[in-house]
Amino acid sequence: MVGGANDVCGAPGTASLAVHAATLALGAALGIAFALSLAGHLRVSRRRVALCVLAAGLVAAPGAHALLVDRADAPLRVSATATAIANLLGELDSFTVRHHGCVAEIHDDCVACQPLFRFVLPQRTACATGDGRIDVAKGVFASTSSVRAQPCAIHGATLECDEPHL
Amino acid sequence: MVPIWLAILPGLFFAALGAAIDRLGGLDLRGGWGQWPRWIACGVAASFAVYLHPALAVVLAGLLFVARRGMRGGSAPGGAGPSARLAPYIGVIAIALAGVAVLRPAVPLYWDAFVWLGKARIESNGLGALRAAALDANADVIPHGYPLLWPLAASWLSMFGKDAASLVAGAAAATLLAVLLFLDATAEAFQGGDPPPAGFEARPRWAFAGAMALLLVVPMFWVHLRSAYADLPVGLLAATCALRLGRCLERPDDSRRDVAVAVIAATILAGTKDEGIGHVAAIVVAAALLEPRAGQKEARRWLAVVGSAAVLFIGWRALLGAHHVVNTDHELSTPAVGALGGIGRVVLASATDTRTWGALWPLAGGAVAAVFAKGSSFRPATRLAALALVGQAALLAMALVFGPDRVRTFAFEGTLVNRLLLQLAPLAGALLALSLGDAASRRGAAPAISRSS
Repeated sequence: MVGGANDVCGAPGTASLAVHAATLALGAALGIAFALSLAGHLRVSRRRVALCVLAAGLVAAPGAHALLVDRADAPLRVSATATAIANLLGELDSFTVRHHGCVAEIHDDCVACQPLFRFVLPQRTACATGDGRIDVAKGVFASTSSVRAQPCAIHGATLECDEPHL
Repeated sequence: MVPIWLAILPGLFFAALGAAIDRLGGLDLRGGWGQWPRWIACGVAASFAVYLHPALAVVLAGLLFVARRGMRGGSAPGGAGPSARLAPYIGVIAIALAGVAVLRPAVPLYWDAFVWLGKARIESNGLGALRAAALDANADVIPHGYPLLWPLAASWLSMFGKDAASLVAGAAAATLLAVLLFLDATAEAFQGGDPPPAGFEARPRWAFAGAMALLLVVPMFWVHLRSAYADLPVGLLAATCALRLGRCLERPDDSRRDVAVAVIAATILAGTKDEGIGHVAAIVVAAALLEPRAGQKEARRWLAVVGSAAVLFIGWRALLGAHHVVNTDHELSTPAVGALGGIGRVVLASATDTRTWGALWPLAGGAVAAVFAKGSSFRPATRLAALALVGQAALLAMALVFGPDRVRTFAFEGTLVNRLLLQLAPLAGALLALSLGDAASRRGAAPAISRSS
């Protein structure tokens, strides 16, 4: 699961403190220059606006690097990430359908997996005859480098998905 | 690739419904490329009101009827619309955004996307299934008591899809609809009154292009464009509402379409997230502050906008109460005055995170400061955008103070504030466009500026 839909910094940090300070200083300077331009103290022209866009692009460059390279949803990595998620989701979904939606989650330390359960069972109701169990271990998404078509295995009434299967 | 074509048929249905309402109500939604998103949004808003409770739809229709006297004028039917001048820019932006939203794996990648789409999946059991589940106090549908429009839109636009790919397509279509409404509103607000107010020439097109480029280099924007989260659409719709009311200030005798779209946006906002009505209230208060000598027609306009959001918000809360379902996530609590410092620090840290926001907030801060300092140098729509932005930001900050502890925990862990900032980002981008356009179009500015319009 991609951590960090709520901030680009969800990706492993690659920008140093100095880079952050430099981009912040440039951004602040840009904001001040923009305010002065709007207030009429500096001339506004097409060329200056183009320069402003260029500078804003520089300020955003570390974030753009995270978007394009670092994150699990970066263009070159998104396919593997999506396959890993889709495979696990498919396994959970099939297992749940086989048990008529009456399954229990017995291993709940995989925070990244919790919303998948929610998607598979969006409306949890009490099951009188539920005997299916799903066991997803923490770290199941730790590596997407060895994506398998079937990330889980069924042992008795339990669907077990853990890191070695990925 | 996301199977976006699933949204074509439901989109046409909602467009036909919206066009019929437009014709019956004389809303002036027709005209230019923007008529399609306007009609679809109108159809979705009306369907949602009926879906929740037919009485809500009746009250909304009554509100619109009362407000009609505050809706004047109307463009010639079938005209190209005032945003035609900016159509090439909008076309390029829309195609680029649609490409990014659609050309990706059709799998939800982000945590909350599964939660939203899980709720959407309930509706695949049949029309009304999500409403029934959400109002069942014994069902475990999280988040409890949240407004339903966003998951419903994903479901309806995917033709009641059950699999993840279909639901991702529905959410992508809904996000793109909000993008188009925003671009349409920004372009029409940028065009403003014709002729321009005294002291101004027409805003130059390059100012629009430059400001949109400043918005589009924001990394966070691209993350959420590919997600199924509701925060970006909420921001786009809030900006649409503000820009439409801002345009009413500049074109009071031709406000029919603007009021109608503002009402539609307000309705959808209240149906999408709890903070939606807060955005609408802040925008209407900003509009009222800028028109202290307003008459009955202006008051009816504001009543229609804030009233439509209130009807949905209060109506949904009443339904929840009647079914003993509690929205614990957003229950008000005693104000956490002691947390004010911490809230201020986390907001500052988030807004100055250049990896996430680039230079957006320094630029927006500069624009707000300039507009507040030299108000008369800016056109009314620009002043409204600046005031509404500050009002909305203040209201979201209040939500952090008055909300339950859970909200502050999310804020201090560093994710919630960015999502709230995202709800402000589209209006910040529109403010950059309007203020830059004003600065470049003031009479007496350098010849190089006025020539290029």
